[in-house]
Amino acid sequence: MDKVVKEKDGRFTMRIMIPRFFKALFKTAITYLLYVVFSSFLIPFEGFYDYQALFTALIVLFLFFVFVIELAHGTVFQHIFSIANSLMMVLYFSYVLNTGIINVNIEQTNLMVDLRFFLAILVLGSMLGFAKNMLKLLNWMNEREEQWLRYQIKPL
Amino acid sequence: MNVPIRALSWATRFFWIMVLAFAVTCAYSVTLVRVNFGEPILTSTEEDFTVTLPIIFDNKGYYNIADFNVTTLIVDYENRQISKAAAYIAQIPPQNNAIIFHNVSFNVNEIMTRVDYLFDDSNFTLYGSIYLNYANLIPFGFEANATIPWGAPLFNFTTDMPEYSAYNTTHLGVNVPISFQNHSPYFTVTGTIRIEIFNDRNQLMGEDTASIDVPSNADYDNEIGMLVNAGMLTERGQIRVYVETEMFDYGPMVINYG
Repeated sequence: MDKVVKEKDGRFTMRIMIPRFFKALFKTAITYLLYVVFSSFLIPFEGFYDYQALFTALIVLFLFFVFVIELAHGTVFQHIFSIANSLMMVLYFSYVLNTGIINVNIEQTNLMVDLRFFLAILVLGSMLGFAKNMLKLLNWMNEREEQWLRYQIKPL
Repeated sequence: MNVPIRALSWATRFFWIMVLAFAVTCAYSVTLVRVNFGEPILTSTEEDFTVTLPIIFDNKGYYNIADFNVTTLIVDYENRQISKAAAYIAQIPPQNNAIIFHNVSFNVNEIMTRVDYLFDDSNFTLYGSIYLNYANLIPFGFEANATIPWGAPLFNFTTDMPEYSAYNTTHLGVNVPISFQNHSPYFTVTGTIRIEIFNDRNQLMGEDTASIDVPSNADYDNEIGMLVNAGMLTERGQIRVYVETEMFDYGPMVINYG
């Protein structure tokens, strides 16, 4: 029987779930390591403390989605979480875009960085991801129904 | 549907790799930009006093810097503009440096027409700003303000009552004590002080000029003496003081006596 059909029947076994759990954990750890490497480039910009919470929220949400998407691999939830991830990115960058002019005041100095154009590109990229994930979900449902029908028709 | 999905997946992956690469190189690149300030060059004409500040902008990063704009504005305690200057460079390509000569000019005559600048210590405020467009994508601005102390060159200018002394049967010696402090950290008060004494009929009884050379943060305390016709002397009158220096002329300062 096909793996997809097995999952439709809800027959998740420990033999499937345990390796998947560790794979998800490994992927999340790799993503976190990439974040640590990337954040080392941001050390000179430690003055942007006001924006640290927003950035941390993004990372936490992103790591969560990396983990659950991998855990739900091969199921409809993989696509649902992927869509949710893309949508979250679109909403997050749209929200940040409104505050896209970063102002940092240190004593008698004021530093301003206008990231609106850059954030607009990120919103566009997230929307591209959202469209891709929607197509993937449609394709997955389509294929699953085809396989289910093939499985049902076979005995005849 | 697999082919378009795969194409879209690759396009998305490529997009995020490009964005991430840009973000990382951009952040790293900013740390490679160096700004140094050269020794200020002071030049002065009869009317203007100019401070030229060389700004050496070394763009060792990977991206272009466009629309580099430096502006300075100096205002006094009442927010009156004393000087405004700007310098602009259209492009600083990567791995290149640019030297910007930022000229801040002060119209000395205009400054010195303000009596309070001559006699009262004050604070000027310097507003400086730098605007640029990094990688033609990210506008960046830096603003700072600083307080510049202004020391009055004729601080606490005091003329005491004239002291009379007999010179001969027709003339009297008159000494006018004058004192002030040069609080200016920027220049020496070099020039002359001229005194004229008038009686109550507005007749000039006598005058004298003394040269002065008072360095920064030094005091001047002297008596300027002259001879006056005893017959013209009245109980009341005026002393008119004129200060003429390389930097400014001021007068008459009218002091009534009697």
